Amino acid sequence: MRGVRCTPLVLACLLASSIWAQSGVPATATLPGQLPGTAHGTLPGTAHGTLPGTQPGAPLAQAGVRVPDLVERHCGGCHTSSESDGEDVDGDFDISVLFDRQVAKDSDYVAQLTLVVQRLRARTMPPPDEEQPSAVDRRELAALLSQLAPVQPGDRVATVRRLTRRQYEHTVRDLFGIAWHANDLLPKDSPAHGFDGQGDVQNMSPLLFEKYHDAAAEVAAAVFADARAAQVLPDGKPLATTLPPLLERAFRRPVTSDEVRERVADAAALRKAGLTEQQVRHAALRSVLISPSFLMRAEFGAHDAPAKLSAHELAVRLSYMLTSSTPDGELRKVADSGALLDPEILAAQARRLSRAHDGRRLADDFVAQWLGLGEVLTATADFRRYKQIWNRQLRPSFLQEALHYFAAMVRQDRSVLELLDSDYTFVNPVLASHYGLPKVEKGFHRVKLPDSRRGGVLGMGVMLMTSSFPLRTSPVKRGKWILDKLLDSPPPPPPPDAGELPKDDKPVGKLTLRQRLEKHRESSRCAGCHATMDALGFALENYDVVGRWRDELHGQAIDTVATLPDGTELRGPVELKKELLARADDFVRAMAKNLLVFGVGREIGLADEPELQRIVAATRAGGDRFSVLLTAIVSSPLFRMRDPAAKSENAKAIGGQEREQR
Amino acid sequence: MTVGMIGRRAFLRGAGVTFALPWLESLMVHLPREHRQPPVRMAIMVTPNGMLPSAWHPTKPTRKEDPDAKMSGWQPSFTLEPLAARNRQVSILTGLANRQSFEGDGHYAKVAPLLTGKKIRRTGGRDLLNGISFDQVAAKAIGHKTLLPSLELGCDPIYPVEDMGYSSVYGGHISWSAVDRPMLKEIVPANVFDRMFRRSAAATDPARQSVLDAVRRDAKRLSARLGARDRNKLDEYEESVRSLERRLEAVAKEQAANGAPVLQENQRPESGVPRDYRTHMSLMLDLITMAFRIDATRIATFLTGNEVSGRNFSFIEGCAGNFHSFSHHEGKPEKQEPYRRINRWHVAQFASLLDRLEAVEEGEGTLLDHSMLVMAAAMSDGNRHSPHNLPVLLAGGACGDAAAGHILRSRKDTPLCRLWLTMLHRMGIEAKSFGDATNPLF
Repeated sequence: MRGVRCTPLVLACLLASSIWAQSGVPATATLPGQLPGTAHGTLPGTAHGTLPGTQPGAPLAQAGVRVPDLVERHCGGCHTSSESDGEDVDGDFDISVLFDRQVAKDSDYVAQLTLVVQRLRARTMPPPDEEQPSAVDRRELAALLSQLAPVQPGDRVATVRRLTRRQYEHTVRDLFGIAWHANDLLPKDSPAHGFDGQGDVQNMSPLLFEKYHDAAAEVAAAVFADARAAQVLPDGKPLATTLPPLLERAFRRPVTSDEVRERVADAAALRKAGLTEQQVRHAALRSVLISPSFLMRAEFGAHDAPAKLSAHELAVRLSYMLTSSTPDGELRKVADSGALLDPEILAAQARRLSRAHDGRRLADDFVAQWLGLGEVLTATADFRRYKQIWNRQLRPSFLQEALHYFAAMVRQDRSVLELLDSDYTFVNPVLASHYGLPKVEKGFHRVKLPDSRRGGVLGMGVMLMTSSFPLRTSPVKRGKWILDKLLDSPPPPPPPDAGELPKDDKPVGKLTLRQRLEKHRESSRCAGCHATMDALGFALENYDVVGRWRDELHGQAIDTVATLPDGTELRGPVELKKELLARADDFVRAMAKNLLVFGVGREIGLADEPELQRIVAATRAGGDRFSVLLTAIVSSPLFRMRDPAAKSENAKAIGGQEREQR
Repeated sequence: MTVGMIGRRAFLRGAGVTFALPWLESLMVHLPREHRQPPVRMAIMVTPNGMLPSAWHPTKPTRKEDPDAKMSGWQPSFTLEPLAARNRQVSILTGLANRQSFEGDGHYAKVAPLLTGKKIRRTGGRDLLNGISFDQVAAKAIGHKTLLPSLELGCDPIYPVEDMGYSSVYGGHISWSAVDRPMLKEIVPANVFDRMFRRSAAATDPARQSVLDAVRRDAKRLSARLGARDRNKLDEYEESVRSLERRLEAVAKEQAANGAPVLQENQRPESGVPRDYRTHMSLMLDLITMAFRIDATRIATFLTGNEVSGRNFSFIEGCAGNFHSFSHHEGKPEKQEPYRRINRWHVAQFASLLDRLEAVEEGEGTLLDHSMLVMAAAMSDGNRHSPHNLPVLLAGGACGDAAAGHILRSRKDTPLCRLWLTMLHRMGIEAKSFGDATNPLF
C-alpha cells in the first residue's frame, strides 16, 4: 500500500490552494471503473510538486549531511536515498537533502520544504499505518523543518498597499463624516492568500487611476455640499492653516513643510488664473484624494531603524486591520507622541480598536473574508425541495448570525475556541424558526442553545449552505472547508479528470451518496486526501443543504460515523467539535496566521513559523481569549517590524541594502 | 431578446442585428474628420474553459462535393454553426499553441500568457511575472492616436481564488502592459460609455493640470524613499497619471475643435453590471463597435468570462448548471452536450460582433472591412486542460485573404505568437519578433 499514500499528484497538489469548492464544482469523486487510465504523475505539467529525489538528475544529499534524530526516526525509515523499491515514487525522496546546504540554494527548495511541512501538519505524513509522532513531536518536527527556510532581508517586507474599496469608503466616511458609496465606480479588489488589500496583487492602471480621479470629484462635491464636512477646508481661512491638519489626517503621517507650501502655491496659482475660491478648494481636496499618499499605504520604517515601523505606520497597520479605516483621534495622538511604540500601549490600542464599532468592522472585513461568509448570499438550494429558500431573509440572516457571533466574541473578549463550539448563537425570528429554537423578537439576539448540536461556526447556516450543492450536501466540500479555513491544511485540488459525484442525493441504483464516496476512496489516487476530508464532512451529515437538522434522508437513517486516518472515530457533529477542540493549537494557528496576512499584507510563510508558534503558545496560555491572541499578534515582530528578518542592531544596514536592489 | 431587458429604449435594427443601445445612429456625426483612409482596428475576444474539440473542427468540402469551394469555404461544425453564413469570411486556424503554457497546471497558467507568449511565474501574489501582451505592444506604438490607447473589457469581477498556486490576477487578465502589470478590465458597460463620451467635465476643468501636477510631485517624493518593489508600484502610479493627463488633453483638444458630443441620457447604458448575461454581452459588443466607429480606440480585448468560470448558462436549453463543471466532461455525452452548446453560444456572440461591424458603413466599405477580429480560447479540451491545437477564429477585411473562409492548418504546436506578430504588422507596427515567434503566420 505504500504506493497508495504516496501518489505523486497528491504531492503535486499539496502546494496549491484550491479553486474548486468556491467555483461551484461538484465533488470530485470518480467511481472505480470510470477511472481514466492516466496516472496522476504522467499528466502533463504536474511535475512541479514532486520532491527533489524524484526528479531526474535531482541532487542527492552530500555525504555527511546531519539529519536531526527526530526527523530520522519519523521520516528516515522510508525517505532515505537507499530506500527505493521502484514503485513508490515519493519513497525515493530523501529527506536528508532538505538539510543539505547546497540543495537549499535551489530555486524550488522553499516550495519543496513547504510541501513537506504541509504534509506533516495535515497528518498525511507519516502515513496512518506507520508509527505516529506525538503532538509535541509533530510540532517539533514542523519547527525543525521550518527553520531550514532560508531568510533573505526584504523577503518578508510587505509591498506597498493601496486602500481597498471597503477601506476607501470607510476612510472617506471617517475623514469627512459623509457616507459615500463607491457603487460600481471602484472595482472589486484582487485578493491574494485569501484577502484583498495585499500589495503584491494591487496594480495601478490608467483605468483604475481614472476611476480614482472620478471618485475624488464625487467625494469633493459631496464634502463641499455638506456644511459640516466642508469645514475641513472652510471658506475664509487661509489654506496655509487649514491644509496641514487635513494633509496629516489624509496622509496618515506628519507632513513636511514642502508638501504644504507646494499645495498652497498651487492654490495661489489657480486663484491668479481666475478660478473662484470654491474651485480652488475643490481642486485642493481632489489633489489630496488622488495622491499616492492617500491612496497607498507605504511603509518606510522608523527614521533611525528602517526595519522597524514608525509609530504612525504602526497606527495605520493597526487601524486598517481592526477598523478597515484611517486612525482615529486617540490613535493619532499616541502615534504623534510616539507612545504607540511602547508594546503595552500598542496592545491596549489594539484591544480598544477591535471593539470599536461594536467589533463589526473586524467581523465584516476580516472574518467575512477568512471564512468566505459572503458566498452564502449567492449560494442556491433547490427551490422545490428546500422551500425555506423562498424566504429572502434566510441567506442574509445566515451571514448576520456569523458576523454578530464573531463581533460579540471580540467585544466580550471570549475564547476564540467558541468559534468551534459554544452553547449559544445569535438568531433573529427567521433563524429561530429555521433552527427550531424558541421565538425571538425582531432583530438579532443571543440565545442559549438547548443542546450541543449547534454552537460554533459548524452549526451555522452560513457554513452549512456554502458547503452544499443545490440538491445535496457535500461532505467533501464541508471537510475541505474545515481543513482549509479552520486548520490551515488545505487539501490539494483534484486532477482535471477526477470526475464527479451525482448532483442529487437521491440514491442512484443501489448505492447511496455515501456509499459512492466510500467506493471512490478505494481508488488509490483519491484516498490520500479524501480519507480525512470525507470523514470530517460525514460528521456534519445531520445538517441538510440549508442547515436544518435531519435524522434521515430518503427514508434511510443518516450515517454520520466516520473514521479519521489515525483511527479516531467521529460520530456526528458533537464529536467532530470535540476532535477540533483537541486540535485547538492548529485552529489558533490558523486564525492567527489569517489575521496576520490580513493585517500585514503579505503571505505568512515558513520563515514566519517560529513567531507564529510563539503567538499560538501565548494565546493558549492566556485561555484562548481574543484579546490575548490579538496582543500576541501586535506584539510580534511580524506585526511591529517592517522587515522581521532584520536583527535590530543591523536593521539600518539591511534596510539600506534592500533599497539598493534592482 | 434584448428589447425586454432594456425596457422602453428604442433600438436599432440593421443587417439583422439588434443593438441594445440606440446610439450608433445619433453619434455618427461625431466621426473624426482627419482620416479619409480608415485605420485598421483589432479586437480579440477570449472565452474561458476551452472548446469541446470534437464539436469544434469544421470540415473542408472536397471540390467534388462543392465545385465552388475553390480555396475558401468550410462546412460548419456544431459549434461553428452560427458562422455558417460567413464561411467565406471567417477562417479557422488549427495547430496553434502557446508553448509557454504547456507547463503549469490549471486554467490560469493557460489564459494569462495567451496574448503574451511568455511563461508566467507560479505565485500566489508576490512577484507576478508574465510578458507584455501584443495588444499592449500595439497600444504603446499607436495608442496615442486615439482617445483611449486600448480598451480592456470583461464581464466578471476578479475571482477570489487561486488556481493551482497561480494568483487570481492571472485568471482575470489577458492584457498586460508590463511583465507585472495587468490592465484592469472594465466590466460595467455604463462606465465604458462614460469613458468615451463623458469626459467633458474633467477635460474642461481649469484645475485639471494643477491637480495632476500636485500628485505627481507626491509620487516622486514617495518614490525616492521606497525600496525597489514599492518603487515599481509608484512607477505604475506615475504612468497612470501620465496616461490620464494625455487623455484629458486629447479630449480637451477634440472638444475645442468639434464641441462636446451631444448625448441624451437614454443613450447611456444603465449603471451597474447587467443582471442578464446576454444583455451584458450585447452591450459590450455594442461598445466595441462604438469605440471603433468613433475611433475612440483601435485596439480592444474582451475576456467574456474569467478562466474557470462557473457561470450558469440556464438561458440556453439544457445548459443549466456550472460551465466549468461541464467542461470537465469526462467523455460523457450528458456533459459534452451543454459544454458544446455554451461554446456555440459564444461563437454566436462573435458572429454578432461581425454583424455589428458590418452594419456600420465606413469609407468605401464597412467597419468590418477595416478590422481584424480574433476569437480564441486558452485551452482546447477543457476536460484535460489541453493547451494544444487551440480554437482560434480569424475574421475581418483587414486580415486580407487569410480571413476569407479558410481552414488554415499549421503544423502541430506552431507558435500562436506568429498570429499576434502578423496582427502587429497589419496594425502598421514593425516588430521583428513577438514572444516565441520570429515569422508572421501569414
